[in-house]
Amino acid sequence: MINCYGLNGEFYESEIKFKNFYEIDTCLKMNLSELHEFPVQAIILIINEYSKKIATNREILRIEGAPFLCFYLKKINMEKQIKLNLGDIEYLNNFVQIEDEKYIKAQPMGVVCHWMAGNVATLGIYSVLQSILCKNSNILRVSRECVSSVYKLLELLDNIVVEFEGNNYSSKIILKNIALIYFNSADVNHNSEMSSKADARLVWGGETAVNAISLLPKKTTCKDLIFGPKYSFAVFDKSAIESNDFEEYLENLVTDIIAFKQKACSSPQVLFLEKSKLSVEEIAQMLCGKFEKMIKRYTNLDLEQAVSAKIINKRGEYSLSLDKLLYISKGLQYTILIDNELKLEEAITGRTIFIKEVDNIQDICPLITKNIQTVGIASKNTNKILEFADKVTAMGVNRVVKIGYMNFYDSPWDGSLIMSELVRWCSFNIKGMI
Amino acid sequence: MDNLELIEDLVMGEQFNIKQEKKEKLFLKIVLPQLEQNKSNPNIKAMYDKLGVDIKGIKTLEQVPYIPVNMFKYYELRICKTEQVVRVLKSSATTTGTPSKIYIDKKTSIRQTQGLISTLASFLGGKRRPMLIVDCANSNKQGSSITARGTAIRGVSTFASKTFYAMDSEKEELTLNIDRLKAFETKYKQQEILVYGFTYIVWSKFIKVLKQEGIKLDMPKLKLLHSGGWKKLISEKVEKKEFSDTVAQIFNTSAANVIDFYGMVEQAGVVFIDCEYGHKHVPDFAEIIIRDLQTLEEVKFGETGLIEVLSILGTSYPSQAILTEDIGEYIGIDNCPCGRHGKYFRFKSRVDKAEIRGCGDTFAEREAGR
Repeated sequence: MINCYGLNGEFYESEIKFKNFYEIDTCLKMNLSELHEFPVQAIILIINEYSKKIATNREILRIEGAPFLCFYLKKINMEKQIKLNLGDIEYLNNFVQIEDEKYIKAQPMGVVCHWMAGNVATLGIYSVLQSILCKNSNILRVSRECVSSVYKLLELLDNIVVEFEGNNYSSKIILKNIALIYFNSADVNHNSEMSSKADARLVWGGETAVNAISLLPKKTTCKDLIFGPKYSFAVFDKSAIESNDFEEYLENLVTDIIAFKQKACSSPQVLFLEKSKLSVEEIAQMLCGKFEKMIKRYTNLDLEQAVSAKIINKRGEYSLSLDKLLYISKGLQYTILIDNELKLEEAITGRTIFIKEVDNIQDICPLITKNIQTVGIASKNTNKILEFADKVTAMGVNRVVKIGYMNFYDSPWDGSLIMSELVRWCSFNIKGMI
Repeated sequence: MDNLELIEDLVMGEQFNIKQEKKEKLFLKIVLPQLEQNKSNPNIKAMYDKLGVDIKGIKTLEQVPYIPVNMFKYYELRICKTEQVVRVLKSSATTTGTPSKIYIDKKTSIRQTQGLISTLASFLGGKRRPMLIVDCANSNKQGSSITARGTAIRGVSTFASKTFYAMDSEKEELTLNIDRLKAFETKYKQQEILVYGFTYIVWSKFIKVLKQEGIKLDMPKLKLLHSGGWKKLISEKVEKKEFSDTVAQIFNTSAANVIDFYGMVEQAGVVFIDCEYGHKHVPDFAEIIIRDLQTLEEVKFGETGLIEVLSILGTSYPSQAILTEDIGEYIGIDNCPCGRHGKYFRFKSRVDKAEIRGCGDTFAEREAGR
């Protein structure tokens, strides 16, 4: 069964159940034309009001990532993102002349199907609202773990009315173009049917999920945006370590580690330290101090059994080894593991960071593959990190960001300007005809 | 009383007799010198150094440094000299493919056997009886290394007057020898008998086959002990009650005669047997601490956590505190209606190794793709 929590602008806390996608698809197709009539500026204004509602709702702000979400959804940022993605906001409303009697317009793809991963609830909102800005209707399939958070977040989008150029526009029309659903990820029939309805498929998830969905039947015209499994790490160069801001960088690193239970594709798993006047042990002890401070604020550890077991085993391995070191909390609040092997380690998550010292940050480059998403960096040397960023992005890394910003959603994401992929670029060329 | 005498008393004496408070004091007195001894192993010494373990400063059993059970797979955690090792116990290696290796010297081996006997005696009495082993003879073959199954069979066999193996091994597959089983039944059905097997083997290779063949046995006076392999049964959704009821039906006995015990090769000699109230009791020479999965502190009564098993039996490897990957529920201390003293608990499950997989779950693919 498909559990539906939001359809046709209505919310269902006790889900309504569907055997197939017929009602959902019919409803979305019926509502799409109304959204098409919206000027994109009205959608931006509604999203801006939505951002304000999130910012003033304490319960919602407790959802991990919600504070940044409301910053991201502000009007000024939305406009900036559309400009970056599409070049001109007007492409979403009208045919815009680009040459003599040649015009182009960014038309919606149609029905965009989103398969969301279970680790970051707010990602569903980023995904669906970018699609809404492109005036698509949406089937948002979230994981069981995220249903409640996404439901609460979307519910807040209801009852917003904005005025643009003398006309009123209601958020109801946006919500009428979002179907919030859950079904078992192993249900091949529902996955297949959802896939066959899609004009664009946005898939966020781990290897198994992404591979399975990629193989589902789809329209020949369907466009795929696959955000598969990724790995991220942090790099501190000598200039950062020896600077006055070093303590702040460490604090920011801890923030990046703690967010999303360290399970996001942008979560750092390893910290590479360039050799400096501080020893790795000294730095690890300083990092302990930062963790100790931070865990007083972020008390909810909520580790799954599997993660606890992995941490305990890694602690055992590093404590018994003759050439490895560890710095740990009394409970499983944080784990710092140090060794000399220049490699990326399997992500343990649950606030576990591997530390490795390198002679030069360039030594990390051979480790880069196309599976690396984000490198969080701390440095005081612009030229050095620009050269480093150029090298690592050429080899596969998608983002190099300052430490503390690793988990902040941004555009481009994972190598894609998402909104530019969620439109069909249509031309109107009548040169010399009239 | 010196520590050696104290250990002998605790191992050989009537079990479940000491109240918790006294037991903890005795235990600490024995364990702390053993921890000093452990430092002869460089890995253990490294561990104690890194964790800042001050042995003299340890005041409670909760503070005794534990070793995660999987570490016996990756490190040679031997305290005695190589030439003193009389046997290497190996785990079944079902999860990782790498078995634990436990180095046993003569003293440890003797204590483990003594400990097992005195624990089982509390449940079976001292009398030896004919024993049917739901396994093949190969599982207990002589040699310098021995599997978990072999260890358990050897231990329980000390209560046997004669042993019979119900299974044959053909191309590494266990098959039930029905003729041998029927012969055992005919000969001993009126007597008190003992049956032992690994839980999963008893269920999948024995009970299932008998059910398929429509064979029922008549051995009402048996005690069937089984251990290990619950992980596979849980994945087949077989609950403990269903297991006991079905086994009892097949043997024409009461479900109370089907006794589950919990133990592990890394703590051979220490077994936790269900009493008539379904509680697992801790023998006097061992201890358990059920640790919270977040704080690692001991949980409160009624709560669940990782089972840590402490033991004073080992002189050849660090048996003092081993943190398992099993989940237990802490039930109480000293007050089980069965009258046994000390802590008691319930085994719940193996640690759930399934994780929420998200977009950060990439290591396997990345490694494969390199």
